[in-house]
Amino acid sequence: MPGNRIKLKFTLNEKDVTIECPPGRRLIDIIRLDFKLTGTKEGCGKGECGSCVILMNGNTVNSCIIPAFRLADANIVTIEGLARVKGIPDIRSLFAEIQPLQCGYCASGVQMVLAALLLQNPKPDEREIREALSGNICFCSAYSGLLKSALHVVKHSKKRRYAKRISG
Amino acid sequence: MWLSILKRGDMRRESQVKVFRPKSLSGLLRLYGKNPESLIFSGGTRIIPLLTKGKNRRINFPEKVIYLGNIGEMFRISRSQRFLDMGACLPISRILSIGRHIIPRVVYEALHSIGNPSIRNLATIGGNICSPTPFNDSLSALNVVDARLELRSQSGTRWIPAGQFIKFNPGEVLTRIRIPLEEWDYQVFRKAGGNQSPTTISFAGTARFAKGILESFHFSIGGVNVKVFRNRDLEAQFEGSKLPVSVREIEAMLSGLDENLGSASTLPNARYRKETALRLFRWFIDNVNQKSIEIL
Repeated sequence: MPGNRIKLKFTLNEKDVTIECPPGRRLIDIIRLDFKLTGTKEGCGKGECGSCVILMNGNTVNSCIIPAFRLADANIVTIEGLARVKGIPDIRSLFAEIQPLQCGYCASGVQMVLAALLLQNPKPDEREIREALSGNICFCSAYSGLLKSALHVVKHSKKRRYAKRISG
Repeated sequence: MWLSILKRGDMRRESQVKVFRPKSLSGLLRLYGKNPESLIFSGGTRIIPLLTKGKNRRINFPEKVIYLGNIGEMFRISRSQRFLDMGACLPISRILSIGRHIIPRVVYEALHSIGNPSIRNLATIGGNICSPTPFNDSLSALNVVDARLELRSQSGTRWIPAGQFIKFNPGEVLTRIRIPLEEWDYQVFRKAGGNQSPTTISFAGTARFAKGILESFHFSIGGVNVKVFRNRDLEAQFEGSKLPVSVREIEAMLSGLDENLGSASTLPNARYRKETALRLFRWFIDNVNQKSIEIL
């Protein structure tokens, strides 16, 4: 029996894309399997651990609990497209300067959350960073390192944004 | 509604799912009237983990799904002098962004306690009210401020108090939440236990003081029974008390609450739930007393 499939148009990392898939397919499967963007990781599959966080219309969401039919006309940004988003510093290189992670499985989710936080609030304080990261579970328990890196990103974000603008 | 779908086990392969995406409220009611077995889907943060099964973690939707994300009427917020009206499909983060100076603080805190920021971007207030969490986080806060829920179906509209909401009539959808905007001197919301714990208790309370007396006093407890607990007779016992409330009155109130909770609880771990509820109530009264001393 041929199944129902829906045709979806949305923006993925600032590129307009079209996909035809079953309406109940998960966004994380579309990102990882259909578009081969494997930077987004899958952890619990229930929206609890934050490994699969991406930006959907500028907000952080857990891609493992989003069915395909919600994607129509959405603007999706994954970790691969984060560097192209205006107004966000190069979080990945700033993270690398501190090297807070052990296995790095949670890194993409944490960086997406930080990016969304910086888009909404360019100078968040420690309490706001902790609140923003409350949905990200680090399986290695490297939380102090993550917080240290997040503070480092915030501290240097203004400077890096300026440098990025100058270099064009 | 969706719990019955889960129990029925009427799931389909992901390719056999039919998704309806109505663009208006009238379209939704017409569709739901014709397809009452459909799953009403909005945020999906509670239903999807329950429907995700198997090695490939596929979402096993039922045959028909009605997605509410395109219905503009269900995303509206309006504010008058007396009420704040919120569409049932508003994401919790969107409601929180209005700010705690507009939303009653007790409701704000209840909504803020739900999930984490990424979940709150997806989860909707209507979903939180309709999903059968045992501790009814937002419902206990909405109950304490006398919020009302608008339920609509093809046959008409009815408004019910938030605390009386248990289930829908066939073809009915929660469309709007109306919160009265009243001034309170003290408002508090507390959750004992985590979001995933089956024995979590939520407590919401409000108090208003005038000329050294407790003019108005409301409290509501979620998680002691299927329905949110609120007893207006008990509240009336306290209203008119001289501030700070005396130890004797508090003890009388606690024993009254103990009796009421004892006869009400049918959930597992009933004793734990009751004791936690009593402790939260005691804590609330102590804070009311302290606040009254600061203000008066």
